[in-house]
Amino acid sequence: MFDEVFDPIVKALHPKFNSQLEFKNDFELGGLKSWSDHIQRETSRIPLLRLTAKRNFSNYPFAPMLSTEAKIQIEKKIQETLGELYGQYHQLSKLDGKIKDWL
Amino acid sequence: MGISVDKKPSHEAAGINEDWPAGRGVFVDDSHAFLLLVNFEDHIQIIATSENGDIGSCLRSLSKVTAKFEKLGFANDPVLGYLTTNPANLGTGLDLNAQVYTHTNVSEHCRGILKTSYACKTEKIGKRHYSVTYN
Repeated sequence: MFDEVFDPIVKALHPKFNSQLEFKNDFELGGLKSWSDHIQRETSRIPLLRLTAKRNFSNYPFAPMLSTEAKIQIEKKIQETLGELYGQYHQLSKLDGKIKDWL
Repeated sequence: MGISVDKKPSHEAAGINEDWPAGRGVFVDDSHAFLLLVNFEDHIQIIATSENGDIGSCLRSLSKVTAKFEKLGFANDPVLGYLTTNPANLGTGLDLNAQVYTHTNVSEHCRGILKTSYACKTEKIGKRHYSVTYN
């Protein structure tokens, strides 16, 4: 939809970029090991590490276009999937101060 | 931990804050290895944390949890990668935040290099204590 506007800009900024290229995933968790051994001795200097993955589901619109029912549907689906994991799900309206402080 | 569950003023105009707080929630794992934010900026944000700097265990728990939700179908594109509400997060949808204690104070010059060459945002928290974000 925005291709007409953005494509010339992208081309000008990154002449080597080819929008027809497909991404190939060559990442493996195993390869990380040697690297993490390397930084092991410095890890005492890292008191907190946080890694976030942001994902959206393909059969729902993005957050700005989401209706109230859709939000609750998504919440329900996630809760169902979570059923297999150990932990506690808190609705935001019932979130207590203790967890908020920890966050 | 530095995670905010409050409304963001910048989300107001985009309509992300509508029907607050319906449908929003937080899942906390018993071992505190990961947590989920539901229906905030994106449908789901999976956050893996580590208090001893072990990035390997962080990635492992992140990929384990992400794989569980894969069956619900993530929005992705062969060129752009995973699609997110904020175009700044397009691609892997990952972001890494680390708090670091340094031997000496980090100079403005050094923080400038981190920003321009490595696209890392640094923020001073305390004496020789910094937060570094990369996405």
